[in-house]
This record gives sequence, structure tokens and C-alpha cells, in this order.
Amino acid sequence: MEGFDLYTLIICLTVFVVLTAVFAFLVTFIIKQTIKMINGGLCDDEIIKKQRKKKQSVVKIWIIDRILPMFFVIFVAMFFIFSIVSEMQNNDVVTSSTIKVVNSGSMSYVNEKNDYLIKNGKSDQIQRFDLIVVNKLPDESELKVYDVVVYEKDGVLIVHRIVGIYEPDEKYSERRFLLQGDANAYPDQFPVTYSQMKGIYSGIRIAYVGSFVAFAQSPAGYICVGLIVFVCAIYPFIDRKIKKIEQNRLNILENVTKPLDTEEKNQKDK
Amino acid sequence: MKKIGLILSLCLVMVVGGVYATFNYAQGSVQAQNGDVTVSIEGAVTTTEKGTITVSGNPTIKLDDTDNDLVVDMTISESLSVSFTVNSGADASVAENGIELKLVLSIDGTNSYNEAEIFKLKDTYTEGGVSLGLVKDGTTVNLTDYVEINTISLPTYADYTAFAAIVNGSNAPKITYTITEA
Repeated sequence: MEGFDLYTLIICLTVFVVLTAVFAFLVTFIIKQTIKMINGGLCDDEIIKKQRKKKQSVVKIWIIDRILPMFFVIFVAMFFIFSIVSEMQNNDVVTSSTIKVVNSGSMSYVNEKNDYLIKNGKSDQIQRFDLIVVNKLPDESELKVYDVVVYEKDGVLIVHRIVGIYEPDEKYSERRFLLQGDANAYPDQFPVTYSQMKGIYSGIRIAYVGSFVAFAQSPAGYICVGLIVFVCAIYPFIDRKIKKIEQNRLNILENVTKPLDTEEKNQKDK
Repeated sequence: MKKIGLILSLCLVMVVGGVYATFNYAQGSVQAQNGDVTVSIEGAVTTTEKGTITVSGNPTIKLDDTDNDLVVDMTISESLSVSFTVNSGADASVAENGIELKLVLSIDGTNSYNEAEIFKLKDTYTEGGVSLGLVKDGTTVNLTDYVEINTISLPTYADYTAFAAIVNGSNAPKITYTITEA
């Protein structure tokens, strides 16, 4: 990791450490205060009400306490796995159809110099962080000008439009394709060969979602997923601890109220 | 207590949201990367009994395809400022007019790509050095007046990487200037 990725990681890590420290302090303080309040009897009404409600709506509590968090964890896990798999397959040649994240804005609008796009009705621009469906490449001979293809340069996937095709000549035995982003004023510096291409854009895109996928694929995303897993792992312990303290408080309250109840009963009997 | 769970969830959302927003901000600040390379220029001055020659400026040569024609273009980042401070014991004529300086340029290292020179000295540069005239208060030397780049066409990425490997290699071409008394 170097250059820009390192810069992104450092500033994300700084924000992560600062926010985590602040919120960890806040949560710890709130938990301590809650425990103090329970032990001091300030939450007795709430605990008793909660105990009564518990008896009334066990199913509702079970759904809120267990099912919803479980769905959330499953959703996060699935999204993370999808992002990782998508990242691992990023540089593979597309064999059927796959989803890719667009990481640059080079296809996001029509540069005024590229009026040929307007003349030819090419309005299928792709915004940065769109999730696009990429299909398997057709045969080399079937690729034509204005097709949008995905190719690889230095391990980075680029989605650009074919704006010129050079037939093989004395110097180059392969057909070469001149590509250009719709928003770029000039074509890419180097024409690419068919073997450098990974797939062809199907025309289907899902706006904005790619931003989350790109985040989940980044080291900053891994750290956040790690934090979510950590919080999900420690929450049951915190919950259990507070429930135990609440139960102890309930037991104390019961022990105090039992003799009073017996006295009242005896008086009524008399 | 459900409140703790809610607070914990909110904090989690705030942390992840904050990091996500930072990530997006950082990604937004990405600059377009051009495939350019730089070549160092080193300088030296020779001492003279008549005074001190001072050269300021740290020029570097940037090689890029500025007009997108797949041919390497050369940009020299800044010019050299040469000044001369007269010694107290120097002749009255030196104190009044300064001294005549000359610029000597040399190109070292691997200065060839595809069996052709990468950099070459222009016709304005004469063998043995070019005179900068009488210098007292200062003069500006623009290296682009004396150094140029050959026409280097890099039609494919493979050509570019081969060229970049030479220019970034351990024995990369290096331009050295020396300012000395003429």
C-alpha cells in the first residue's frame, strides 16, 4: 500500500480512533451511571414495569432483542463477503456477468469536446460509485466503436468507451483499441489490446451503491466491520451484566415487599 | 436495558458513518495521475578569489505527454538565478562591473532510448560552455534555452514502461550544470 491509499487509510484511521475513543468513553460512562442508578433504586419503577411487560409480550421482546440484531449482523456479513469476493474477482476476465464498482468520474458526463457522443445519442454515462453489470466480452471482431469496455492497467480497472480501432499493421500484430472516458478531453494515452480487456458494460447500473462496496473493500471498511463484530460480540455481555444487576435489584425489592404483603394479607384476613 | 443497546447502536453508526464520510472525502480528493517522470538536475559553482558565485533555484525536468500525442514533452520546473558578491579585496573594475561567468552543462548516465539520445544540448550551447556575460547583481539562466529532448514516441504502454524504467533507473540520465568564471 502506498501513496493515495496510504493517505486515505491514515486519515480514516485518525477519524476512527478519535470517534471510537470519544464514544467508548461516553458508553462506558453511561453504563456506569446506569448501574449506579439501578443499584441506588432510581430505576425501580422502570425495572418493575419492564418485568411486567416481559411477562406480557415475550414474543415481541424476543423479536426486538434477538431477531432484529441477528438480521442486521447477517446483512452486514453478507455485504462484507460480497465486497470481498467482488474485490478478489476484480481483475479476473468476466466469464458470464458480474458487478463492478466504478471508482472514477471519467465517464460521468459528456465533455464539450466529445460532441460525437451527443450526435450519436450516447447518453449512457456512468457516475462515480455506480455499481455496473459487466458482461463477458464478445469476440474481438464484434467489438465496435462506442462500446463501453472494462480494461486493466497497472492492476486498476478502467471503464472507458472505444473511440477508435487500429487494425494490425507492420509494427503491431494485434488489433488495438483507442479508449476514452466521456468526461475526458483526450483519449487514453495508450491504446489497449483485446487481451487487456476484462468485460463489456451491459448498460445496467445501480447508482451510489458502489460507494458502500468500495468502502467495504478498503482497509478503513475492514476496520469498521471489525468494530461492528466487536460491538456485536460484547453487547450480550453488557446486556447480561445489566440484566443481572436488574434481577438482583428485583430480588431486593421482592424481599422488601414480601413481608409487607404478608402483613396486609393477615390484616385483611382478620 | 434497551437504552444501552440503542446508545451503542447509535455510537456504532456515528463511528462507521464518520469513517465512511472521511473515506468518501479522501476519495474525492484523488487527482488524475499522469504517467510522467522527472529527471534531476544537479548544480555546482566554482569559487573565485574575486568573490562568491551564488546560484539559487532547484530545477527538475518533468517528462510528460502534455498534448496527448504519445510523444514525450519536456518541462523544466524553474530557472536558475545566478548572482555574484564581490570580495572586499577585489579590483575596482570587478567591484564595479562584476565578473564574466560561464555555464557548463553535461549530460551523464544512460542518455539513450531505442538507440537514440534522450536529451541533447541545443545549438545555442557552445562546446566548453556558454557565456553568461558580466554578472554582478544577478542574472537568470533558463535551462530550456540550452537543453532539449529528442522526439521520443511511446505509442504503447509497454513502450512507456520501458522508457520510464530507463529514466527512473539507477543510472538514469542526469543533467549537471557548473557556473564558473569565464
